[in-house]
Amino acid sequence: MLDQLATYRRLVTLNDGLRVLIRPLTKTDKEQLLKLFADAPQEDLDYFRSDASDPKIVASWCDELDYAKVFPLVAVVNDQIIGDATLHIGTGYSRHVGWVRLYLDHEYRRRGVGGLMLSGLIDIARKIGLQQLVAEVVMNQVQVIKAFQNLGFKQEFVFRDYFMTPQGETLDVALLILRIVENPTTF
Amino acid sequence: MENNITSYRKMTTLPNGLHVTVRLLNPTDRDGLLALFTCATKDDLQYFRDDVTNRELVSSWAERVDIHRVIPLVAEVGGRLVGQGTLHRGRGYNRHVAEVRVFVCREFRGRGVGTALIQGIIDVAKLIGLHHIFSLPVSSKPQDIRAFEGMGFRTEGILHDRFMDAEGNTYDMLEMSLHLRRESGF
Repeated sequence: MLDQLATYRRLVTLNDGLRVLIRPLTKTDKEQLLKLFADAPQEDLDYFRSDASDPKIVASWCDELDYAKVFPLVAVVNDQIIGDATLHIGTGYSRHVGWVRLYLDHEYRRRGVGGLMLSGLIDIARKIGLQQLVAEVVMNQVQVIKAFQNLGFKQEFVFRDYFMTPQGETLDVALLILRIVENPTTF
Repeated sequence: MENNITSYRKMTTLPNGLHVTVRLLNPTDRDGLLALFTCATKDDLQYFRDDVTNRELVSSWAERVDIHRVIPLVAEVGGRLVGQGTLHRGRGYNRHVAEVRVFVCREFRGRGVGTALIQGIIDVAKLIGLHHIFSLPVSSKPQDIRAFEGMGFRTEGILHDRFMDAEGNTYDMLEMSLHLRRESGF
């Protein structure tokens, strides 16, 4: 199954004429991925679980690529990676759950690219038989929450004060869940 | 601060007369820790996030304690490790939060050992200045939920069907949090 998913491709022309290719990240994408995160402003980096400003960490995402653990899709425009969306696959008692994270270059936001990447991850999750997808989004990211909701994610509850800014201010985090019900007996 | 954690030691006499010492795990505990997990039943094993039948993995926990990532406390009775409580620390934007996990050998359950471990975890969480700690007990384990409630944890949300057992049945997990008084800055 994972070999088949490695060939996943989706080429879409958006309403504004932008042609976007969604495909899995490969080891040869390292330089491009480093550039994507090197260009990310600090206020974006604050929302990353890992330190994406550290080239060693970003390089390890390519060097230690393992689709069975983390399945990353990238958005490519004119041969440049402009977005990275990852599906983190649970293990053990969470083997039916996947966690979704997404980063998109500022220039390409609100143009439908994020939705395309998320749809791609939902396709992948369905194919590998996951039952639910989870996204954790800071409550001040209203547009991001809406984007997830437009794709069927529902806000199940809110983690109070779960996110701390570099200045020490705490913010609530919405737990957004997408039920993938078509394949409930795979496991 | 770190010294306070590494030297943490609390001895409690439980109502049944059992003397239990809660302290930080150290490299000399390797065999004791391996023995502790051999008492895990098949049912217990499915509640662990990691494979505790993997001797290499369990040995590494004792041999390479890194309190910046995980603070492991053990409960010792009569020189034997009978339980473990771990505090899994967040990083980056979660640096003020940590997850609690507790395991007690079946023959010592219902005797206050788990409570002593949770109290130890609360003590060290306060020492390092965490804002809050949380646990994710499974709805099929009401005794675990009661134990955390008894220590002041409150259910903040339900993670529907988040836990899958060996047969593929799913159960809810509860997000139970304890908010701590902030004692130090970050």
